Amino acid sequence: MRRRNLILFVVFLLVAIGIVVGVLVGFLPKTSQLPDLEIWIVHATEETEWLSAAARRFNQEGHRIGGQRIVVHLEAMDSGDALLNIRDEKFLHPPTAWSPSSMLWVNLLNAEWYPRHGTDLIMRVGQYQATPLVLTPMVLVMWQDRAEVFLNHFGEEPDWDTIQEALAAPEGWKTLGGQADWGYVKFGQTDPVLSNSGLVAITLATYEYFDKIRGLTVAELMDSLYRAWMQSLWRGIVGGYDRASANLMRDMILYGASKYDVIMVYENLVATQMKNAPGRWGTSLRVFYPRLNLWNDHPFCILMADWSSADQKDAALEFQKFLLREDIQKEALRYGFRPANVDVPVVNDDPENPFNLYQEQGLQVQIPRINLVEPPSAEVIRELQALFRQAQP
Amino acid sequence: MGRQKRGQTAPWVVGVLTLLLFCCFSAWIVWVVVQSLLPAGEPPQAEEEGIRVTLLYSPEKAAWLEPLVEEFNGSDIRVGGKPVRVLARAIDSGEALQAILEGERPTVWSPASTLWVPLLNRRWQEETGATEPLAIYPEPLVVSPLVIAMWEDQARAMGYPERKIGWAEVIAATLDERGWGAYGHPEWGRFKLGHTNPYFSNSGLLSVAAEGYAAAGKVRDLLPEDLERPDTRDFVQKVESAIIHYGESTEYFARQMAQRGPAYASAVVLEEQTVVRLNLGAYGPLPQRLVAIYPREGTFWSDHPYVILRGEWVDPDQQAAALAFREFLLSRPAQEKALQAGFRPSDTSIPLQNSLFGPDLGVDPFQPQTVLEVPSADTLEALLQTWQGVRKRVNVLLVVDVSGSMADEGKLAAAQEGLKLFLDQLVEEEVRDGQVIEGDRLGIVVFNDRIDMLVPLSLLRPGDKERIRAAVDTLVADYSTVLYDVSAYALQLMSAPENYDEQRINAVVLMTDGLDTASTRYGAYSLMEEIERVSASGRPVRIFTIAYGSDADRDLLERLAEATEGRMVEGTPENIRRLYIILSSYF
Repeated sequence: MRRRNLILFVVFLLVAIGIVVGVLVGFLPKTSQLPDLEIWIVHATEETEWLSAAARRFNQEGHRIGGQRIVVHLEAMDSGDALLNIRDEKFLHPPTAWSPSSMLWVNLLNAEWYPRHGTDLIMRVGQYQATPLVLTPMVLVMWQDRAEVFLNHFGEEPDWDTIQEALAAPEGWKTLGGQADWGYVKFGQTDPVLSNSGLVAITLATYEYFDKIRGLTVAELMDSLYRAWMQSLWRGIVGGYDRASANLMRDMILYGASKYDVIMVYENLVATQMKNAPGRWGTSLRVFYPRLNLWNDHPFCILMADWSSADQKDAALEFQKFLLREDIQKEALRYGFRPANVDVPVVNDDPENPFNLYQEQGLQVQIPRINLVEPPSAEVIRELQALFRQAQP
Repeated sequence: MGRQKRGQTAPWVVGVLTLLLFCCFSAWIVWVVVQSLLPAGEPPQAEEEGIRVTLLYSPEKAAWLEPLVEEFNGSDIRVGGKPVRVLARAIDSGEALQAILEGERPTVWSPASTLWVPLLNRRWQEETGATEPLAIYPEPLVVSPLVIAMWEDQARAMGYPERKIGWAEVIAATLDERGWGAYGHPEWGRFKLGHTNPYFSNSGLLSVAAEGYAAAGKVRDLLPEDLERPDTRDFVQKVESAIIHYGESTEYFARQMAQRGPAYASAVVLEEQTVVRLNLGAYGPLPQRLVAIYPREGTFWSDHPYVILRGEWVDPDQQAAALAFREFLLSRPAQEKALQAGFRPSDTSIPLQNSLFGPDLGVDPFQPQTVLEVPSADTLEALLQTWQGVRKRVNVLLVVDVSGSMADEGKLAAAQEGLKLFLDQLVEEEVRDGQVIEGDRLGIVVFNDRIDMLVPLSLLRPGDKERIRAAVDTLVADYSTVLYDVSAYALQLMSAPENYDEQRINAVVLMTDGLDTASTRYGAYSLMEEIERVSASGRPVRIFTIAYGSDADRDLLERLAEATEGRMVEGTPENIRRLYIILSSYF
């Protein structure tokens, strides 16, 4: 009996001690665990869907720096707003990196930052240099029925000079051979002060006007005929200026040709919205590539600012590498982007790949007749934006 | 064997001690586990502090938004660990704008159209001296184009659906003295066009903008100077004088259309969404289907923006919570529900084709094909001023209680103040481009145990307002109340052929604080009979009643207003300011 009691006592004691130790062990890693390494990344609105899915996956995969788990937070923002917020250091969560739509904004931000701090905020060389993530060119998008009338009338694909002529048609679509109740020809672009695609649109129009692809100067922009020509383009905008490209593309589908007959926007946004057009308006969209173009390379820019620690910058670099990984780049195709990683082909066997789906509507892997223009200097960009502002009522 | 040796612990004691120890450990473990499940560092609270998001939204969204607000509040969606509660109130866009300027502090505003956003910003900056706009980043929740709703038979008589009908045809038909006779149907009488009051309602503001475009012969670039041109003004004036109903709100119009059919109006400017809901029977059975005419010159879109205000009263928690609610409203399930409420969802992946949007509900999902350019804030202000200048004038009798009880609680002073406020809004005669433009017509009756004409009914001429103000200041409260008698007297006076003016809005505004104490000619029953008699006379007069103090016979005042299709309001300065606008909407 005594021995049995002793055994019982020992068993109970061991179980109790085991439980206590187990609980303590369970707590141990918690108490000694390092806090998450959080980073905030501001990005252009058209990257939202791709980046959100990628960041979710990145966070799930549990990437670490020095034992700390990296947690990526994203904030979509128009490039213009993001530039001002970064320049003025006005943000709730200081961003470690910024991914604007194109390198134009890198020039602009550095031009704003340098006089104040005596250094560039975004590096051009080295480990932390601005690195393209995905590419997308600008396209002109028209409703199919309007495109047919346009092609019949002008005998060529739309470009800035034919669009300008169409916008100035005295009786609108009727003059071009379309229906009278289509009204005037209505053009859409985003606000070039706030949004990259609007800025690129007026840059391309300006190059087209001066018939050149590089060396745009501030002096040229003073030309009164040029200024009048630009104003006649803007006169064709009745739907106001969206501040984000994704909104402009959504609005083209939402309001149909009643507000926008033709818009200039990123290829990737058209690719993702193309499927929604027939369900709303019973007709498709048609894509055209302008003769002069500019790649929007969505650079990932780690900001060399003292509000981010070295670990945070390295964490951002880790996220950048992840975004360039083949599977994540392949995923970008679904959102209409062209991978920056050259090992990932644009066309693949994915049935959801819009480059497979919408070739008949004009979406093309090999872009024809394209001439790439040189990104203008910060001074020219500022002057273009000022010209736009002055032209607004 | 059975006996224990001295000094040895009894086995049951060991067992109990072990069990006790085990229970202690178990209890401790349970405590630790429970603690670890609670949010770190936060002691359990008896009641969690939540985030309140207040939302003012335009009433036409109520059928869609109300259930969603309830669903959101019941969903335990949290922001920063705190629960969020949305408190939503339906209010017309123009009224909400005014309320914000007068001190209401919502977190979010969702007017019917983005058109109202620059108007608010402009007035906010003017009145507060703020340098930054109050409302930015409007995001559309749902959209609906402005259409001209017509009864199907009548629309077909005008050539629908083959013939493209526009603002020009509808306005021409409104101005044509032959009425429906011009379309082979003289039995239908006049072509009656209606739109809501532009000061209150989005569709009213848009209608007036469309009229302005038609008058200026433009579809874009409408400028304030276009509206100042005499020919434009004349055109707008002609149209407005031919318009039969302003209507206080879209809801009011929709109810009237359902109840009174083509006799009420031939064509009414509404959002497509209201046409869908009318045809779905949301306002009762219709005598026949209504069809949406998408004006060939172009129209406007109501985009129902969601705007988080940037006032200092909106803290970061509320901003984040407001964003969470926006995300909820833009989620696919919420957007699909918008279709059922007659809206086009802003989620473009939800198709309209093969949905309920179609000819059965009188709409065409592939219309409109073009828009009128949204006018600038300057032009909108000029449009409102033009409308104010050319809209139908009122022919109004103010009836003021000066019985003894009005002397208490400063009620007489409040009524005097109210009279002056009302007076401020009336329009005096003016001369424009050598032409005399008539103003409103006004009379004032005061009563206690007798009835006196303080200001005889007459057209307001320059300087009259000053004289009337001085007369109002002389009022003294005394004696008893002949409420029934004065009500009947006012009705008889206003409906008399020599006073009634069918080109104007004929109304009585009765301001009182008490119960009838001294009427000798009318009682409650005979007064109602008198109202019926006047209504049947073909010279109907609406009674708007304003109650002062707690003793007012609200039941009678309510019945008087209801019987004459007027309105009862409490006697606050804000109500009196609004009353004139409400009154000018009812005819």
